[in-house]
Amino acid sequence: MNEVEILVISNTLDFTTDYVCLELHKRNAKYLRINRDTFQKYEIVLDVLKCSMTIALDDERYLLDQNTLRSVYYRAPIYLRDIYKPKLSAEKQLYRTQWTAFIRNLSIFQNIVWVNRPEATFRAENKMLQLNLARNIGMDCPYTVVTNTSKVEVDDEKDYIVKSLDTAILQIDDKEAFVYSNRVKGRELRGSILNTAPIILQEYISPKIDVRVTVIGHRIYAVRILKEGKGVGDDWRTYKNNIEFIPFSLPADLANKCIELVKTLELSFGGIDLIESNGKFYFIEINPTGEWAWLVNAADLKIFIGICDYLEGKDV
Amino acid sequence: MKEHLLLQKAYIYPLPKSAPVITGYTFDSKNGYWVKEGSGQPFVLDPSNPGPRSKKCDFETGEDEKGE
Repeated sequence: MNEVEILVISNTLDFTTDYVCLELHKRNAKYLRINRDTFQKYEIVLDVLKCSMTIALDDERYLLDQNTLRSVYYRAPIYLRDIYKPKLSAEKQLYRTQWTAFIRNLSIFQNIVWVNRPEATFRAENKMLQLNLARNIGMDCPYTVVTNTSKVEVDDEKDYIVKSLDTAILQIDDKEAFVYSNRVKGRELRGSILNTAPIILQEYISPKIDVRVTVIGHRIYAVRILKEGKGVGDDWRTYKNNIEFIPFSLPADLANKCIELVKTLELSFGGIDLIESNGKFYFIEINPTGEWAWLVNAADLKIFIGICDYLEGKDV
Repeated sequence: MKEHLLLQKAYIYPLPKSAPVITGYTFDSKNGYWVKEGSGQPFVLDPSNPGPRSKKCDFETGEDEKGE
């Protein structure tokens, strides 16, 4: 029986997790990666009251016990946004809902390190809450309202940012759609249909440089996001190429606030989006399940080392 | 009929046909990462693999779908 100290919950095609497992393997850590898309290959028995779980896979057996399990890397959504996938079979629906509930329920392993604890992620994903807490700890935030009326007070000639309250992936006929942050003039807003769903309406800060801050425990990895040496006026994610990620050190006070925000949200990891404008930094949002692997190659930031250290209890 | 502003602004793309096939590599379930068949070279360290380039993938799933 292999005693597991670090459990990694992921998906087979999530290569980001490969970096973490490769590093854990190098360290001879006692870890196990389980993939949400291959649960049918595992034989799992979880004794709920004892908080002890056995997993059989191929010819190996693994034991995860509350007395020996040290940490969980939860690389998974806490709930699935399935409403845009109407063609899922009953079998698939059952698989997805029940296994998602299963991994969420692993939070019964309480006195261990989580990156991140699912219930903390659920709470932290609320953008309005994020903004409020960020403001409370002294971060600068852009003027923001949530509204479903085009009668909201705006200046016709001014630019605003319009975005969704939650990840918006939709099915439109036989295609999919994703809602990025959009720059919109006040006069366009006035003539828009908004009453059927709320939007986030935010002050457009210009000039701007997007900044991504990845926090793991007390470690900070910050990059400026540039195109041809300059900040990107629109949502940088809409540009596939020629985007540069330049590592830099945040001012100490801001770095501490980023760490404090992560802590306040009871997270251990967060991808924080900031905007830098005329020497000032504005908090935009925090992604408790934010991506980071693209920064390994693009910015030579070995974030997986920070994650593995944290999972091993070296920076908790 | 006019659409909601977010629908008007949405980025529309073809439905992903199926999960990608990683030819020449196999998932090592004991160690928890993909390796090249034969050499055992980890996929993420293979110089011929461009690696994750940004949080924007060919099809967008948001940041928390994790390869969904």
